[in-house]
Amino acid sequence: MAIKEQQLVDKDYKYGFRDDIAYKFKSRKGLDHEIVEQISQLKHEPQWMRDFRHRALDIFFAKPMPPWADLELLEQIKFDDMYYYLRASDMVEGNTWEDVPEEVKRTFDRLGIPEAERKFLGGVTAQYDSEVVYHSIRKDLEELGVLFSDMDTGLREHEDIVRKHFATVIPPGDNKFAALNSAVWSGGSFIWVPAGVHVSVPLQAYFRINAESMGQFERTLIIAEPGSFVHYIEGCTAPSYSTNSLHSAVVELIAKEGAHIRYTTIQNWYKNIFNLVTKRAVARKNAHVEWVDGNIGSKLTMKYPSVYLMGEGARGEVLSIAYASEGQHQDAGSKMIHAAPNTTSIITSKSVSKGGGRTSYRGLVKVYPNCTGVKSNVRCDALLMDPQSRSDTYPTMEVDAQDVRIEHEATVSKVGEEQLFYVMSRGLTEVEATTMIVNGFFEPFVKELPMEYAVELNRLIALEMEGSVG
Amino acid sequence: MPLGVAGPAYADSTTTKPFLDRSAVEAISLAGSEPAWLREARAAAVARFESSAAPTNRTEGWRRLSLESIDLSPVDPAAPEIELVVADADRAKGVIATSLHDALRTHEAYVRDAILGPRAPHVLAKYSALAEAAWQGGAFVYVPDGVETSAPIGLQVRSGAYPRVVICVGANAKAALSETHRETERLCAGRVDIALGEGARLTYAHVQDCGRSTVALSHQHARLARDAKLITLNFGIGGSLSKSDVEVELCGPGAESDMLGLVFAEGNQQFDYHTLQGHRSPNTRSDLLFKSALDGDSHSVYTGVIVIDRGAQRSDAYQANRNLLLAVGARADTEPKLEIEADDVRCTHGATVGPIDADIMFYLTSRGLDVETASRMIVEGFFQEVFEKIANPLLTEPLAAKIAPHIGRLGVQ
Repeated sequence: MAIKEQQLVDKDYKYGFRDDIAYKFKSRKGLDHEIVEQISQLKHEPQWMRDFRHRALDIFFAKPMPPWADLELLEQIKFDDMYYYLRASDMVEGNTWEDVPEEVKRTFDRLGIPEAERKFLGGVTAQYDSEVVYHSIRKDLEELGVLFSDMDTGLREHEDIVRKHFATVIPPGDNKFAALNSAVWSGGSFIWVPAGVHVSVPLQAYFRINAESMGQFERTLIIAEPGSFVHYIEGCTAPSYSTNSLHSAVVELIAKEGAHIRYTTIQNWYKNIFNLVTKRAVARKNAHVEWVDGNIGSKLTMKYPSVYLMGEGARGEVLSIAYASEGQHQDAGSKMIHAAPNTTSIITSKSVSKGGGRTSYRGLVKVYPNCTGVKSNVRCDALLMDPQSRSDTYPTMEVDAQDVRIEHEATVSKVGEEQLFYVMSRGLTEVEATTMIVNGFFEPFVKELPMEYAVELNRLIALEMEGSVG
Repeated sequence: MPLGVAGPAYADSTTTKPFLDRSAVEAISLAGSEPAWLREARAAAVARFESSAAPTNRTEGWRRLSLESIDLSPVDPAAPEIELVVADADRAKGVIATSLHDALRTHEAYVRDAILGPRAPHVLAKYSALAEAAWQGGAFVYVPDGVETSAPIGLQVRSGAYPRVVICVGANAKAALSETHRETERLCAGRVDIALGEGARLTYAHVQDCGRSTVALSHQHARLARDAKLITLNFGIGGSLSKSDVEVELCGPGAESDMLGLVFAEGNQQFDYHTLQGHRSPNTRSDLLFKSALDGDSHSVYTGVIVIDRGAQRSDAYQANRNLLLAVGARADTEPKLEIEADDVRCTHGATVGPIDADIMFYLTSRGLDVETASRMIVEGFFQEVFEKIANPLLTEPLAAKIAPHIGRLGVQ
């Protein structure tokens, strides 16, 4: 079996290599209004965006850390000892593959993304440090009128659309890390899908962190006009470094009447990275938003993808998995805000804790007064692989309307003795059997992924299960 | 005579009298010729009360409640009126039910254990400290080792602000106890400590039937030794705002706890229950079922947590919160939480909020019942599930009788 050949354990991070790159511009360490001004000037941003950044920075300074969070880990972040803006080359954008710098290509090759596949799959935003260096939009996407670019380009070329929607879903005052992102954001994706357009290929972006103590603050905005459909895939892997890095993205989705957005994430940051992300969607009348969210890596992840169901008949779904091993805390969850009648939501969360890892589910289902006919179902399952690991479930339901149906269920257990016995009696070793059971546990998530992601995820789980028995 | 100076914690407090009269507390202690350790414990409780901030709508654990028209400042201590009923046959077997002050003379070690027990921080800590500082009289119930009571012990609190109750059940003893609160003071803050010895069994009902303008606060804390079993029922029907913290800690292997809750709320009543199922030892089992039926503009808050300590292997825990919304203005918040640090466990929870099930209603009306009658039957059935788990009609029949008129009013505008 493939598992046996790859005797890699947690210490040897599969993607833990880095290329030496001559950074053309590097802001000094630390964060103040001067740095923010510098970032905005370098990007030649309009005045309103510059003001927005400065306002957000003041909010960031004023806001305390969330008191309910894992403060022991959060307080390890040294905000003054970090760079807030970097770019790999002066080249703002490579429209063709040939323009992409050689070092960057090499990094992608090492990640094992075949070039042919990249070209086949829609537009690929290759975020290398803070600047988008490779970005291609397939011709047919252009013909459909779909806008797909990095956020900086989006702001330059479609300022009217950006200004109308930017920070309307997640204002800088939402939380401390949304404020930080608002002040220093760079890169991320901008997608606008015209009314009635169905984008059949998933749009993808690969992000990487490639400099020591470097924060990445992407800003993604997806707008689906009435009756349109788009599937966006975000996958992350990062090289290994010893100092703590911070990743704090803001993702805003706007699904207008009858639109459907699916957002898939697989997060596999290296285990020294803080991943503190605010993701929120607004669903108008009869719109449908799906978050498919996998958290495998990072030191601490705090991520609660939310859907604000603002129009009658809107539907929100979250399907998430979390995996925490030694030194990791996956603090993930989901929020569904029912602010209109006959809205429905489903949250399915699965987590595995191993080797002293900790997973937490933190969620909220809120129903506002007079929102009749609301249905919500929340399901959380947790597997504990050993006595050192920990699992928490913190769901909250606030129901202020009568004719509704709100359900929550959660279980925590270890891998069943009977299941193990059954699989092992068929001739498998304990490691193989455990891997198979954990893969089965994650199956509802994995089958929602595009094939190449599913294969990679299964391989990662197999790697992680090495040495989990004994 | 108010003591101390207004600290920042009270800066935005709207209450008129945020402090407890320390000299009144000292007078209580002197009048009862209390031992030095108790005087010190009271002083420490006063300090705990005064050092913790008055709850506001921003305080975690309180923020879901509407506190605008609620006065949470302490009332003056007054000796409570407490009635204790024990069958003569049980008294003859050595069962003791007396005031806590009297028990200081006869059972000082038990009282001291309860009063000086560990204090973990929790949302009601401020008011639990108030009860510990200002209690008078109090109640003490003791069931000797191996004794099985023939009838439930009755404990009725008719007035007073700070009822303090200590219940000790000896090894392999078996008892049932019903504690009913009918205070009508503006505020009452009670504290109950329950200790079960090895193999002891206790069925305990806490009935909150206070006046409709009373703020009823109750902190109940139980510790179970090896193989002990505790069944608790919190029954809430009275008060304007009712907030209870029910904590059960399974300290010995094989200990078991069934925690039940029943609320019938109407008008502007607010009920807030916090529960702890603390698995401190291996092979322990806990089950929890809290149900609320909410009529009018009432509001129920449930927050419960199952904690399984590292090393508490083979623990089995269940937690369910069911809320039945009977009116458009009713509101329910529920937050069932799990914190699990052992792997060989089975831990499940569930919560639901919704109106009367349309299928059940259809079934009953298709049998010829009108909607009002069918609703009443459904609500009765909703409560019946809890009563059946108590399996002690002597305890549950009076409670069913208490709800009956409320259920009768359902659907009648």
